[in-house]
Amino acid sequence: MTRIRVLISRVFDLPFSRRRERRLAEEIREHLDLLTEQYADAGLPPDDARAAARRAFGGVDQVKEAHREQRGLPFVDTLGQDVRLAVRMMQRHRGFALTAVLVLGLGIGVNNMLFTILNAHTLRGLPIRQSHRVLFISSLDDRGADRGLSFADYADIRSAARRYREIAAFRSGPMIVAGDGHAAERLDGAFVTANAFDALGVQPVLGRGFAASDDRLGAAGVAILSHTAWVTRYGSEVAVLGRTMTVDDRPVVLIGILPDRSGFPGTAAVWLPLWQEPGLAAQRRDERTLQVFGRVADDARVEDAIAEVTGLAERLATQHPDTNLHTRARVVPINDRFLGRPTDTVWVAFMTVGFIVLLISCANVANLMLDRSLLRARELAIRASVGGSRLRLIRQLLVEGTAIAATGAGVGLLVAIGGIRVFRSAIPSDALPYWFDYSIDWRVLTALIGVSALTVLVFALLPAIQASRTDIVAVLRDGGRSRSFGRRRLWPSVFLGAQIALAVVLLAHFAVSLRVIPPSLPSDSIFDRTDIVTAGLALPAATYPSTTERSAFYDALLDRLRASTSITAAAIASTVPSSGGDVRVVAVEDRGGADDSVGRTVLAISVTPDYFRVLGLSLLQGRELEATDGRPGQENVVVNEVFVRDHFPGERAIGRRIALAAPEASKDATPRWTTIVGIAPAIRQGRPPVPEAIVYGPFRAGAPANGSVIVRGAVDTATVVAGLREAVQGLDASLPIFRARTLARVREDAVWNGRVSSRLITFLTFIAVFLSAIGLYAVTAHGVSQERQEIGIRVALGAGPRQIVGRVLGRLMLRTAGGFGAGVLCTALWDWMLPTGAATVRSTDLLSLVIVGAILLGILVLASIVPSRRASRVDPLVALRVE
Amino acid sequence: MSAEVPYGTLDLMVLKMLATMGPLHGYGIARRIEQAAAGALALNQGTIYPALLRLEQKGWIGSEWGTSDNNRRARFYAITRSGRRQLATEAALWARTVSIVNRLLEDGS
Repeated sequence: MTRIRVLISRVFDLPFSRRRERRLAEEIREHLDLLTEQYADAGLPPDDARAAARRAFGGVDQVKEAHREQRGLPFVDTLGQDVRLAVRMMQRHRGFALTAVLVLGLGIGVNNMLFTILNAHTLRGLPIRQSHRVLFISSLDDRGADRGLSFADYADIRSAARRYREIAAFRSGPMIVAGDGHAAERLDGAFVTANAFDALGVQPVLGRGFAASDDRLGAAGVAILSHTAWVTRYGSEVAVLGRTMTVDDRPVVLIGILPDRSGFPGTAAVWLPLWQEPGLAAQRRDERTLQVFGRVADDARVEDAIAEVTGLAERLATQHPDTNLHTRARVVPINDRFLGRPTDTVWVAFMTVGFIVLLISCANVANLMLDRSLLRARELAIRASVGGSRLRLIRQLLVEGTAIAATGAGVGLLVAIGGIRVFRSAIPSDALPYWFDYSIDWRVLTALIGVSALTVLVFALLPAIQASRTDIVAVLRDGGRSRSFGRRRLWPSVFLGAQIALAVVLLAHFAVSLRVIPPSLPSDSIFDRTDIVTAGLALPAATYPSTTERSAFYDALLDRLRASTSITAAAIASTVPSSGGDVRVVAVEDRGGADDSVGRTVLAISVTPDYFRVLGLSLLQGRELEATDGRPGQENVVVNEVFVRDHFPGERAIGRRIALAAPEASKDATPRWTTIVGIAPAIRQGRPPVPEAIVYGPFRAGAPANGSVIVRGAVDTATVVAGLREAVQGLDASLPIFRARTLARVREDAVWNGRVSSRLITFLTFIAVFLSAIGLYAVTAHGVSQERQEIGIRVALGAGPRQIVGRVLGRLMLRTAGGFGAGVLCTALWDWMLPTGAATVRSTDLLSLVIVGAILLGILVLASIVPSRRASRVDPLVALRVE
Repeated sequence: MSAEVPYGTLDLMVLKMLATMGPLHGYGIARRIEQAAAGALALNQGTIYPALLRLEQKGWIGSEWGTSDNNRRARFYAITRSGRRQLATEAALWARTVSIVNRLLEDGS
């Protein structure tokens, strides 16, 4: 108790030491005065009285020192001295301090930026209360494909499960909001069970959530809106509650608004009770369309809750063998379902890169520190000779390192914040769900501080130990000349080699990214055109229940568009280029056997006539689809050249018959044969770098409710979009168009992922190479200045500039070659530990290594120009006089 | 010949002085201790200042500025309640230690 009290009192006294000192001095003066008076009273003359008082009191300085020792914390005191020394050192050697802080700041900043991204994608968790106790339940079918749950399965599991507080379900899809006096708008929405928000722990900020009575067959229609939709559609008007609107043409009353950045799935803006989903009651047990999640009961363990649902699914399989025989439950924490895990290969690789850049900057600063300690050898030797213990010297140097690291951490934080800002701006605003939060939280700050502290051990400890080994006698005798430290030249080479090795790892992957740039297609020019505009359409089932109504609408729309002066050509497609398509299994007529049974997949897209004309492309063979195609007896399709290459290599494809089937369809179903009438050029439709096989079918055949209008505009984009909207709403005032943009923009938004990651790789490689170049330059420059005398002697003995430069370059090459070799080994190790799936190009093959070597050689030459020139100009007289 | 102050007993003496005489300044404490020892103790008067700080840090005494007999500003020290408790414990401990040592010395002679 008392001991703690003493400690606390000492700590609190620290800031007041000056006042304490004054008080003690005053007390001592007073004491001496009184003692002097006492002796004077006893009859001593004044001078003798004063001397006697001093004798009786004892040594004033010893008392003050004892008092001081009793007062402060000795460790903290000397630490304070070290910190002051370190700050003074940084002020005196500004060039060194600035370089070290910037180099370290760059490394720490890049590391922290990558950690911030990792944090947002894996560690933060979904913004749900106690998200680790919420489980996501799906089913695995006999092929191992992950599916949702059917309503019947969900209802059975929900009523039987005991270890959950709530089990909720939802089905998401686009919804059209209208009928409230505002323009019709298509929003992402979801049908949810009444307990869903409760299970997530989300409370409406306005109004109420769904009650059990809202989620029944025949209940009055109600809806909840997202905060964003409330702000953009209703201008945050509070009186909007209780207002009636239509969602997909059914009237509903708005009852609540959710808080900002909440709700699910990511982009949903409107929610209706699950029972308002049309045809819910009639859904079969094998229509597995619901997404299901549950919050584990407070008194249950997560593992038990997982086991319970798995068991219930097994029971359902025996009870309903016709639909559930091979269906199993898959229960995972909801965070795992919607976020990555830090142990995923991609994230491990991501952070490895972060640490490579950090290590390069550490090795760089370590070399700077070594240089510094060589230059300071004399100072350190003097300190050691007047009794500074070795530990104390190491500590002093570590404190200097910490001061640099702390400042570097500050710079690093700025680098990270700036980097994240640029990273964010490269991602389209609606591409990621709201829960990816790249702001700085306690994890990011902890990582920043931890990593910065770690760097001290990496870059400052070894130089400090090295410096503390200073041979005092030798240094003082030689006057701190460099020759005594020959053996220490090993370490700069090691640090330099490490930097180069690490940079090679990044360069090798950069070389691969250069090489896997997909070959361009002739059709890629369509993505540069800004006069091709597309917009989404979704016909609500209530107004357009069948193909007849939908076809009539599309025909009328195309007529109107063709009549418009701002549009030169128009078509409708199920999906436009760069937006994917439906995956179908393809069968070729008259081709039995193995090939057929394997069933290769293709993308199926349905298009109206003129689709290729709008894109400005002409078919390679045959004809485009026409208005009559798709009618009975006219089941014709167009395939692309990739399809022909895959399925009819060296054969005539026109006139052949193929059949498409959904992947989940039964293999015994009768194929619906269609005839190939044309061959289209390959167009990028999806993400893979190589174009995929595509089958274009007539849009009329199914007249899907969801489609995209695609037009060639004659005027600016805004006018074209306005014309589009006018044409659509002239036919149906409550029908919105959405995602209206140029085809160029569609492409840009679709490939943001690849674009952002390749920019990130380039950026990181650039930083790594830049740091290594600094390291190369510093070591070379330092080496040259250390060898001035030797170079001077060589010049005096007749060596020409060429020999001198050759010598500098040769030594540099030797060091770099060592680093290069180590780097190739590290790269091979990386590829072995973190294999990336479709690696057609290897990072350690000859071409990659040649690219890396060439880049490295370029940097080497750049970094050595100035030092070698300096070396070649060494004046032998001046150099020798330095002695 | 006067004895050195036995290790650890200065604190006890200071506490005792403050307990019996009331608040005192540094000089006053040193003088009273010397008077009580009647010349049998060689006290470097300055050493009481680290002792006073030690006792203050432990919370056994408190201090404040006051005016001395001759109207000069001086720092006055006073024993606290926990100081009195500590004095009682230490005095008892001291008495016991002394009696044990005495008994040993007597037996041995």
